[in-house]
Amino acid sequence: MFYLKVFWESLVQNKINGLLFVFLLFTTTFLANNESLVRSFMAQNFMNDDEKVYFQAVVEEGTNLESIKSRMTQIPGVLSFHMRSGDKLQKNIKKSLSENDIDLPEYLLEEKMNIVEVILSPELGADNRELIRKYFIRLSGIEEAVVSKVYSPNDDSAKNFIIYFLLKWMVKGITGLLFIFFCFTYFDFVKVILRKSYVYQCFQRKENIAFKSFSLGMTFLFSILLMMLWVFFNVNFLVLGLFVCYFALFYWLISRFTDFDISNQIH
Amino acid sequence: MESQLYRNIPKRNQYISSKLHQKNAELFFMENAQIYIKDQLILDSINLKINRGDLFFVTGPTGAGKSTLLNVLSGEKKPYRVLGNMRRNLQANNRQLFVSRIFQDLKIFKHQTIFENLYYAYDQKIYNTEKDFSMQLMDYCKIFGLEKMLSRRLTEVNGGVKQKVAIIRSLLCKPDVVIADEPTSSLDKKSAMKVFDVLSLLNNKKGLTVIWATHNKELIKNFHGKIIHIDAGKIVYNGKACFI
Repeated sequence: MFYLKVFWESLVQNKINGLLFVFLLFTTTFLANNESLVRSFMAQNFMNDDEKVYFQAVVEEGTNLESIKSRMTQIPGVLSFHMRSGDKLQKNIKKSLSENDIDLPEYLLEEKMNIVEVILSPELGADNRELIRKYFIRLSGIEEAVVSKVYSPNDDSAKNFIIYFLLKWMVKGITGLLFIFFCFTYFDFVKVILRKSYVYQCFQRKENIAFKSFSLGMTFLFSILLMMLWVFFNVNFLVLGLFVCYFALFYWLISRFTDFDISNQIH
Repeated sequence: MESQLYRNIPKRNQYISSKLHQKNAELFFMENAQIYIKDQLILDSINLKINRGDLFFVTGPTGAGKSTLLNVLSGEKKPYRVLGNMRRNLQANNRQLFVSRIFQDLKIFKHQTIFENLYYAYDQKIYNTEKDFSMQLMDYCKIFGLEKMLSRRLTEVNGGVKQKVAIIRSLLCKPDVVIADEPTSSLDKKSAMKVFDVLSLLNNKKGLTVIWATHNKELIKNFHGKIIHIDAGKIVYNGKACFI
């Protein structure tokens, strides 16, 4: 508990920096692991139908498309793969049927359905768009009749290009920017731990307090982060592994090259 | 004062020795030692021998090399190169002797309170409970007149109080050796003598080894122990204090 206590004390010594450190750690890791999720969210909520290149398919509610989603989002040019509610579609179908006096059995009309929407990059040519559409049909086993054609916007291509550029690079850009801010807070935090540990080590019969506190504390934080990502979102172990290596390397660099300076900055 | 320093707190396992099993055993030894820090010769032709249980003064003008000598003895600074003979013997009775420091620049956290700064010395290896530590802390604070200031931040107190905090902190960890670098530079004569009395008492009764660097001649005027005088990186005098 002593080492965790030192970690915690270092975190709260400068409350703003400590809060920023934890916030940026969680945010940067989340964004790096869930880029496609964030892109889907942006595409769903901030783009109109006439601004995007997309096709849709109707599926029964409850159909599990997670494995298809993970494969589709790996294809370069696929910006988003998400589900939308089919309630509006169902209403429109019922309305059309009633307007045209077409009777269908009740059970067919009551079937719940969802819409799968796949948004593509405007840089793709028509052939590649069609290939991706056909690949989706093959993967999902859905009838081609319930998959729409690929729609593309009619108006100003420059504006759409900007929208797509933002959609493609904004998440990466924000992640990078947050990561740079995170580096500054991380550097500050490591120095605080090193200073505190230095003083503890001068007056207690313990060794390597800085390393032990830092590794225990970061393991604790990472465990919480991993649990949250696993339960609620996605986990990319490669990205997490890279983060861990970065933390370890950066910590070693700071402790190696600022050893004597730190001891002079306490008072 | 003596009863406050010898509060009957049951000691914790093997980290503290109440008896000096190897009094006068060699602690630090240097023979014709030349010490280089960052490729620069700082101390030249150093000959000294400090035994366990010694009370040792290191004097000299500013920039003579007193702090460097103390840093090398405590292990704080690893010399770039050492020529000649140098030994540090900090093993006794199968345990490492604990060296505590009173730094010239104090190394206290100015935005924390006096109590929080002293709490850095609370080691569960030597105190049975936190209450024992608090009792010992209060004893030292009463001796040095800080018992009513424990909740004050160090930004609100003067240099003398800060220095007393650094001194108390170094004693609270029950060290075997105290290396003090100008510990009374911000204290008045009466307070400085009090510090000297406390360390002398601990030296006499507990066998605490004290190595004290100072350029305060008033303090060592009536001292009858060992002194070395350093000037420009060389030992100019090594012996009893009678030269002053």
